[in-house]
Amino acid sequence: MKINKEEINKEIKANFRERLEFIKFWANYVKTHKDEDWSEQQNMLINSQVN
Amino acid sequence: MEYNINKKEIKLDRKINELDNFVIEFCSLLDKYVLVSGYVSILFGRSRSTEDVDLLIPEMNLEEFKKLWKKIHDSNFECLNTSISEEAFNMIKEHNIRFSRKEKPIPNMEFKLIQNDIHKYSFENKIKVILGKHTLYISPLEMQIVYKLMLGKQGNEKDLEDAKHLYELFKEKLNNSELYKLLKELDAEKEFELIK
Repeated sequence: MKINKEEINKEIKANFRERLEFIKFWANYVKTHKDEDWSEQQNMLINSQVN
Repeated sequence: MEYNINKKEIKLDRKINELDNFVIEFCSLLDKYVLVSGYVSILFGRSRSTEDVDLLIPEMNLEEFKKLWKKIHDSNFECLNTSISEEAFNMIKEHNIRFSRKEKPIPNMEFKLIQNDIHKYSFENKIKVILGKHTLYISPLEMQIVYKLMLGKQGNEKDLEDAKHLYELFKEKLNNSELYKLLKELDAEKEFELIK
């Protein structure tokens, strides 16, 4: 199998850019919604890992 | 969420999770400390968890350390590095030591002494977070963002993402002159361009 490293690096960079866009979207959600609302969603993620 | 810049105080009405409970319980045993790094982003909503929480405390002598050690162990926490207080006291001068709830290594508290200028800055400029009926102290946001960018230099995307979350959330309230000063001092201007 011949791996095209350039193609993979391009994909990694594009994924990272997309992650940053999601973080911006989520931070804006946190800013514009009640603490109770966003924390309920975040807690599902955290409690499932910490419990 | 309300950030009072003059009072250096943030009020949060978030629902408490298991990680918060761990941090609140542990920090209630300490007189002076500051929380730094990933947990600060998580406290303000970052969509991830962590296995360790970083905390800085002022340097202390052996007697003070032993007193704190007893208080921690009496409260159902234990040190993951050693069960001997003198050994832990010597270790902490060289590297972090970890505490967790007894028999539950995750999550754990990475306990560090305030030893360098970044630590001192974080402690001296700490922000009070009022979380319901609890109080926590965290590193100033400008330093938190820049420090995470600095860690991101080594290619750790998680750190850059933590910085991005805090920046997006607080950008209208940050002290920009302080932020740019720290970016320059800690050589993180290039990384800032990636996330702003």
